[in-house]
Amino acid sequence: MATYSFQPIAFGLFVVFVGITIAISIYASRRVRTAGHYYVAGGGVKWFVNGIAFAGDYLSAASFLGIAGLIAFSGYDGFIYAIGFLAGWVIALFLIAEPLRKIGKYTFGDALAAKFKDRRVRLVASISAIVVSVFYLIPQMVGAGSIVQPLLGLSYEVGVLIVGLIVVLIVATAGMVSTTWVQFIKGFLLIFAALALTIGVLLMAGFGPVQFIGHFVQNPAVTVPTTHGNVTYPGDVFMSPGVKYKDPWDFASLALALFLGTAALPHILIRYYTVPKPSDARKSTVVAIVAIGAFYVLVLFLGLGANFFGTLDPTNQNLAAPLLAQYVGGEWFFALISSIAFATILGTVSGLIMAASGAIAHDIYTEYFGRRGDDKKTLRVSKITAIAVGLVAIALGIVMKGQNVAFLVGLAFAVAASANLPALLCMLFWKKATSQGIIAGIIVGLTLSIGLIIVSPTFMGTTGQAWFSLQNPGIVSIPASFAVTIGVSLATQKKKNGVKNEEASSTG
Amino acid sequence: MANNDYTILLPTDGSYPAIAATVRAVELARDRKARIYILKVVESVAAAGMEKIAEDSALMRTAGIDGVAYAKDLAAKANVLTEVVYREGAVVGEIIKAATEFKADIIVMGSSTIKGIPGLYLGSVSRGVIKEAPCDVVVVKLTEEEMKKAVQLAHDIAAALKAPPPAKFDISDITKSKKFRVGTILLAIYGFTYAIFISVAVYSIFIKFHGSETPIFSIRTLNMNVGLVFGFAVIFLAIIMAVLFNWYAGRSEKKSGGN
Repeated sequence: MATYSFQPIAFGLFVVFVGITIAISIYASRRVRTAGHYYVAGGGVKWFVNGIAFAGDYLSAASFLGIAGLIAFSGYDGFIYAIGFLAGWVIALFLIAEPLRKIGKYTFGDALAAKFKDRRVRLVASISAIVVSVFYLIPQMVGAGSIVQPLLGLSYEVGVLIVGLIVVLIVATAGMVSTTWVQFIKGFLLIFAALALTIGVLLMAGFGPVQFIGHFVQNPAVTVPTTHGNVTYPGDVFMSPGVKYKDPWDFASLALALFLGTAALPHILIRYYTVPKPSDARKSTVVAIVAIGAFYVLVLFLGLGANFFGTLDPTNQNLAAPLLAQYVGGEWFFALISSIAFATILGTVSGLIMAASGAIAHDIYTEYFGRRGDDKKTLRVSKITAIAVGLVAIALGIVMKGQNVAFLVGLAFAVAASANLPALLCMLFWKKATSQGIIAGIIVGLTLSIGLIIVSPTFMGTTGQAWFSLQNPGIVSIPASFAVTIGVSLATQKKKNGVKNEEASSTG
Repeated sequence: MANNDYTILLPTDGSYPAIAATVRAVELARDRKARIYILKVVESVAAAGMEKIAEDSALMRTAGIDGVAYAKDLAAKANVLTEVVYREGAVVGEIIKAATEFKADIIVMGSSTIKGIPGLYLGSVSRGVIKEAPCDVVVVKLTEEEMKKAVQLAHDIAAALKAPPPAKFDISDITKSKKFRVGTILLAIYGFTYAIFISVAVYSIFIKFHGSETPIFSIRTLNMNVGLVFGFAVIFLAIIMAVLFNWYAGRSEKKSGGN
């Protein structure tokens, strides 16, 4: 199973998917006349569409291919990713959705600027949004390259290039309008695919859902192939934590980053501005939680199914779900699932490029440097920015070849939670927050989380040599960023008294 | 939509007379529960001769705003259904064509005027339409006061489109609402559950590598094990809380009549 050849059916379906996607973009581009259309689809997206688009935005290659693979190879430890990825949405629902929609126009930077009347806050926040988006883009591009290779018989670099160019086309033609539709369609397809695959697995195995999981728990020897031959675990061990995570603190750090990271991801936050009202923001978050939660329950069956039927390739864990589809439903099903995997990457990458180009074109160019031209010019700048970000993503994707996809996503969550969440929460709910506090918190969160990643075992070799022993920096950098935001805000209270009073009077 | 039998065609080009016509058309539509087709004709090159351009600028026909946006806005405020139609071609011909196509009961339109003073000059377009129309045609003449009001409104809309008012930071209506407090409590419950789940998982990993007893998450229960049952519970808790909260918040919004 280690060699793959060109798959004509998969390729054909892939071309059809891409064709439909581009047709939608070109059709949608006729409706995009202003910067408001471009950035947030004119704020007129229906809540249900937005909710499914949230799911399409969020369920990246790491969720579909990565978690299924992790569960197939590491059992329970993969499932924990699924639980953590969903948990963060609860914060988004109860604390962020409605208040964030109430303020701001296109980006999180607007909201900050509205509260603090300080241009530097906007600049720092937008830089942080760009860095987090790029961090998140890298694993998506790496994922794109590494599945194009086996499924279409094309080289890794060509895969990254194809995905990058298609996404640039989608985003540059119609911005958030086409991005929303691509994500909506992809969100539906993904849930449909996971459901169909799960039903197929259970029918072929002849078990009910609970029975199927019970089978794994009670199995005396679960087999996992590795590049050095098979390894077996007792079912009890495979289906409880510790197959992959050996260090309890590293695990705790990841769990914290996943919980606090979701509500701080720029490409998720920007989607709150695409609906008309705060109540729509809430409703679409609920739709997202139901869709994403259902998907993560199903993904457990995909991972276990791949292990059950032995459709595993130890050299590429990401292929567990497509290979399972091939086993369960033959060539056509394999082609369908693979094409949906491509659509998955297209949807998420489009969202990320929108977030990054929104930060550059709107926050930095238009607002920070005050280049408020006419709408046509703003639109042109946004599109040029989107193309530039896309090209950077392609380049990074090629440079970072060979990195582990789900792991990189975990790091992106840690950086997002450290840099953005303290700023977001303090801005919304803490009256004593000052612009200096927010700026210091973002800078410390961003540099500390990235700095710790650089001196972690991932980049410095084995645990013994690294200066920082954990792979995920969240457990240190997130509390530090909160502490700095609060500390600096308290230290700069007196200077800000005038502004505070002004704010109190404007409330109400 | 049985009560939308009555159909009004409103051609607009964003000029002052067109704005006057818009005001009338919306009043009429509101009273008769009618639907308005907003028609914007982009003149094809052949029709836009030098003469026409000269006439437009001489009569100061453009109010400098988007006539379609203005009409939509005004109609939305009066709860009138609208549909926007873009056409390209000769103005009179396209208006007649659209009226036939949508089976318009009436065409409401402006007449060329010198800025703000109605009734001086019946424009060539309105003359053409009156001659050819398949239905009634109303050529609108507002009183001076009405016209002033309409123009003021048009300028306000144009200004709003050009420079949105500075965003005010005020979320107190949300954060002080009861639903938000309920949400905070639900979040606390969920956060606590997640924290326990992760703590037990962490402890379970710790025991696995440093202890001798069975890790808690491996203890079998309900045909599965504690870890799986707990994990599913955390997923379903999120879904159930989200749906219940949405139901509750929707209800309290209806009660308070806003959002």
